[in-house]
Amino acid sequence: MWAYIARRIFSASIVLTLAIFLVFILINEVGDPAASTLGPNAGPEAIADFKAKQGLDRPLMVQFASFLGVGRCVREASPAWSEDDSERGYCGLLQGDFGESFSHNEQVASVIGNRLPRTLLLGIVALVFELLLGLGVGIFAALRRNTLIDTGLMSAAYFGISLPTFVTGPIFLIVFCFLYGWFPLGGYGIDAADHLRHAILPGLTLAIIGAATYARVMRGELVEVLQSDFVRTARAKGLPASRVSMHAIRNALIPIVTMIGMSLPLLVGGAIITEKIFGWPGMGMLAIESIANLDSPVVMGVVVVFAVAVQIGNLIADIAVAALDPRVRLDASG
Amino acid sequence: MSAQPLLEIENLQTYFHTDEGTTKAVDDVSFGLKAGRTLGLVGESGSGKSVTSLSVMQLLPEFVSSIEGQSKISFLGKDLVRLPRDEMRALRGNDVAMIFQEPGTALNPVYRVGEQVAEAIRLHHGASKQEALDRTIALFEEVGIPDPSRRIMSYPHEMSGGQKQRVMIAMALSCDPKLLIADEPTTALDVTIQKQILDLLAKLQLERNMGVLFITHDLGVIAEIADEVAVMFRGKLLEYGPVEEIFANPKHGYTRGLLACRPRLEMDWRRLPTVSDFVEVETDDEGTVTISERDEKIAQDDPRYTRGRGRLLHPIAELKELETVHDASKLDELCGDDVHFAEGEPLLEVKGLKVWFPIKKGILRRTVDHVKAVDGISFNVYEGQTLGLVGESGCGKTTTGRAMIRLQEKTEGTVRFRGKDVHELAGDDLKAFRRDVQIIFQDPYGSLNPRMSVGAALREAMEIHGIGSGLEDRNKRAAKLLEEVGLLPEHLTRYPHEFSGGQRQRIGIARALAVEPKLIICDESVSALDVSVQAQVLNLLKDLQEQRGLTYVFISHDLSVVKFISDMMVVMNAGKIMEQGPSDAVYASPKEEYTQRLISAIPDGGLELVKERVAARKKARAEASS
Repeated sequence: MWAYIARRIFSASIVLTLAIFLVFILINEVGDPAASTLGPNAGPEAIADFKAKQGLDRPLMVQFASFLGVGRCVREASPAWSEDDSERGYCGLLQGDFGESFSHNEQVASVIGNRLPRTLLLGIVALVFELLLGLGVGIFAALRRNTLIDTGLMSAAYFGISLPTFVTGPIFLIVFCFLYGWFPLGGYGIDAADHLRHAILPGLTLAIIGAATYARVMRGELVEVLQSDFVRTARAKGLPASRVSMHAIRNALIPIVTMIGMSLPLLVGGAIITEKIFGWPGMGMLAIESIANLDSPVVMGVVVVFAVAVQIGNLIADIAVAALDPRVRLDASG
Repeated sequence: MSAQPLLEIENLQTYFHTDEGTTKAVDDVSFGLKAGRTLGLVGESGSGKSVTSLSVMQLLPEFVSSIEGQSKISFLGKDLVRLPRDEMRALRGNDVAMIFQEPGTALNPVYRVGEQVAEAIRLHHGASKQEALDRTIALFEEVGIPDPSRRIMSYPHEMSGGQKQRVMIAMALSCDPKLLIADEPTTALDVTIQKQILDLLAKLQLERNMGVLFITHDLGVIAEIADEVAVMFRGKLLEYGPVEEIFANPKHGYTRGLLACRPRLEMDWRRLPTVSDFVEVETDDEGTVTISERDEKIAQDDPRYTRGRGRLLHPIAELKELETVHDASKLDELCGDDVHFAEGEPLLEVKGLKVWFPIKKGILRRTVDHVKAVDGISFNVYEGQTLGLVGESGCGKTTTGRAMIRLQEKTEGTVRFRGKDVHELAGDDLKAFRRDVQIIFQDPYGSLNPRMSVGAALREAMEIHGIGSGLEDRNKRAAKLLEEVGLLPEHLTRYPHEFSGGQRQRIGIARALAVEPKLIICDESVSALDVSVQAQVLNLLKDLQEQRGLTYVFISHDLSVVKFISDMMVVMNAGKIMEQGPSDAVYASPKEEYTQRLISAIPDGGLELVKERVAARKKARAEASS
């Protein structure tokens, strides 16, 4: 198990470096962060000055090494900076330094540290809805397969998959906020309970497609497992229907868990539209703003967080599958 | 001494209702079973034998099946057909228990085996968790699972097939059932394991005075264990009576056919009789099946079964080197009228072949050990010959077959085809080799692409190797191939799921033949088939060999099949060759104890044995009751 995790972390770090490198080149070579930060009225001198301060005038690989924290720091604003080349320290990811935002006078780490918990809250609320609704409906329908209830629920799920968030979000806003006033119109709230209250509608909006997908997959898996030999064995033992279902559900969950793990990164970065509709100040909004402004330190920070989330999500999924399915041995794979 | 009636089935009719109409899966079947006795229910797939047992258990597939009005299944005075669901559930696993064919899939893969057995005990006997586990350990001991207190913690995938079946038996016995239904419990197992399981069932039955309903397609197994036999075919009960009578004087033609079509070790026919020699089946539009018998008597010297070429053995000089025939007198015995000896160079030469799989451990995945699947084996195959590779599962026979045609990389040794090292071939030579050597796999369901029509599958093979010109020509060839393997040209446009298992195996053969190969590896190619279908496919393989001068390497766990079809036989165990020689010589005087064990484990299904077994059971029962 630990050997497996060690190998996974090693391969993940290679993937991460590659992903970060690609985005780094894109944002610095294709766009001009200095020009877009300073605006159209900035003269060539101001731009050159900005570039020098931020180290943008140095070769790309030197900038990248500095960003990773394996090369000496190129940013004048950093505490590791020194005029004397030999005394310059490091100020990159390896040192926990994400740099400073171009458009706000703030450390990127603190910008993300501010936004990430909000997005996580929204993501977790959405995940809870997805699992409760998705797995619940899927299991309920599978146990009543080929009845009207099953057909009705699966049609509803199909409808749910077809509804984009930019349709469901405004509908929820109109119905539950304007008409009934059950939930706040948008925003983030002031304390923990209020945050949660604000998160429910966007969470539900975000969850509908996932829940509908899980419901259909769960139903399909479970119907198939219910026809397998070991379920027949369980019935031949004289087990009551509820116990027989348990035998089947545990097996049917295995592929679902992989799916959930794969979608974990979406909790961190998949809510751009929903955040916009409900005015939720999370990572999605941050990503859009910083890309529009070519605020490259923030963009890079967001990319790093997303990429790490993808790796963690996959690792969690693999470990969870191994925990559920004794036939899967982590040490034997990867 | 008459035992009390346990199970009475009267006029059982189980129908399946689908969109395509009604299938009479079980059509008016009646039989009875007494406590302490075994009723063998025999039939091939589609005969309705499993549906009958599931009707007793009330475990039929939901929604589509129904037990019709007149049917009666009475068990200890209760009418199971009309029993309320809750009462039926309380009977299942308690008074009536069942074991299934596939121990691999019948156990839940994500629960420990001990838990799965204990579950039923807790449910039916209200035992505490600890009591149930203790009882499970005792049961494991009873069914012969070594180290039971540790084994209850295992998951199914950590056990062998035989052990899993023992777990299933322990589970079935856990609540001391009065009736045990065993649905093909040994079909998926090696013969030696089959014998152990049959012995175990017989012992447990005697101790517990259980009634056993034993379902199988194999009359050889029936001969070993049944007191009475019911023969089913296409949902109908054709014959029902004491086991001696069925074997001594089978009344129905189908039973005679079933008895005759099994390759028996002591028989030296060249071809096998098939069930269609004995009965004719017609199905009308409403799904009613009419079975009419053909007046058939088979004699030992019937020309239909004795024609064909005799054995084609290795050159005499080489035979002398093989241990089985090293003394000259045995060689003389082998030289019958129709025994021929190969000449020239072998077509395929395997020398010192090793296939080892590394076991890797640790962060750096260093190789710490090897699984020696094939560990230094050598044998030759001559043109036009059939070489049988026989052994139990895990002995390395399949890996050998795969390494022979380079589907598996070798670790050491050489495989030469027409003198060229197969593992060194490249480019055009490799392509020619891929054409000359074909393989037919075991599972006719899994080895055909479900989305490819039969015609497309056959044409693809021809296209790759540039056989035929254009679609029309290839279609013509494909149609001819289908006729050659006993199918119809119309079948070209159909898809695999529209065929039965035997037909699919014929398609597999046609596909192998499509590229006009010289050598065909048959990897357990008839093992998944019913005996009656197996006989047809074996005959087909023999015919094709004569017509096309094919060479076969026939891999199987069934020594009786290998002996029937092969000229030379190689017996493998644990990656090594135990012995090799002419099939008849190896069978007649096996040198190794392992070979003897393989031979003696095969249920021979003769009348003498049936009588012997019946007498032994009577004696054992008398001893047990006194």
